[in-house]
Amino acid sequence: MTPAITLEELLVWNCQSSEFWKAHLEANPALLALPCGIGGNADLQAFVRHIWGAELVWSQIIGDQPVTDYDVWPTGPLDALFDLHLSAVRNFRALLDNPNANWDECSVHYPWRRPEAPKPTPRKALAHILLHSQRHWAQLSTLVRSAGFPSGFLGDLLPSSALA
Amino acid sequence: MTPAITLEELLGWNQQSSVFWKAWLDANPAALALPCDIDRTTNVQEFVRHIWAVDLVWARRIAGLPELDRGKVPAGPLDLLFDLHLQAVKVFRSMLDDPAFPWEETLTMEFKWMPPEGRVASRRKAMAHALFHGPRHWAQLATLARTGGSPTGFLGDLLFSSALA
Repeated sequence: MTPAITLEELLVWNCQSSEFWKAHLEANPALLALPCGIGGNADLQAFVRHIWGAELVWSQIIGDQPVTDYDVWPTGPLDALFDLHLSAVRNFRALLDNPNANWDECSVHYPWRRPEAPKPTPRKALAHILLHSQRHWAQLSTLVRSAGFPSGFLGDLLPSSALA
Repeated sequence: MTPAITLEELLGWNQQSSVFWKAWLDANPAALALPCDIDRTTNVQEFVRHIWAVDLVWARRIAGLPELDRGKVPAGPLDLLFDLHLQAVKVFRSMLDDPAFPWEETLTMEFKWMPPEGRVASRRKAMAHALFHGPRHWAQLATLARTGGSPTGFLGDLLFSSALA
């Protein structure tokens, strides 16, 4: 057996992290106004929008659906941003539930791909976006702690129940 | 087929990130003195020490080797810290190359910070955890370096890694 982590497991971990931050930001809404320079975002709300909006865009790209334009994403409130994540999760699940999906074909075209960059497989693209969020949540956790508001976020895979 | 990312691929991504940061810090040694308080460190050098020491701690733990004596982990210089990572990679590779390695066998941890239900993990989960630990911290370090006035150009996302197609 080749040891591996399934995309299903990565999706569950991803959902757990998003649910943590949704709950934490609902309980601490002032955090959404914290300044944030990551990814060119002015504040934490814009950064969260980037995280969840990117999930939706990638779910559409991998699923070969029309891509929701960045300008159309809601800028808030938090519930509307979280809906971006929920919509993405529905798309991810549909992909994972498709028994005919060809996970290993280098077929994924994303509009900002440089000509010299190879097309990723759907497997890589889905793993990428599921981990993209995890890397950003780690940055966000540091950002809120540095501002004096530690979140208690346990972002590592180890505490997650996504896999045994 | 259940789509999955192999631990071999994750190890490749983990290594590429470490190699990037080793080269960048070699070229920008002043960045090692930048203040940093992530995981109770005081500067970037200590933070990097944490990342690579944890690689080795977990590699040894998963392989069933004696626990790393953290008191003997060097404080620097960078080459010695990177050697912790290189040692970890050797141990990780030895496990991946062992066709009989018991990936689903569990480890029990006694971490007080961990919720009790998270203290038992398969070796597969523990290694995935160890291999994600570095990339999550490198993302934090990229932000820290940028806000400290030293943008790195680090492309830490898996999308940019050649570890998998």
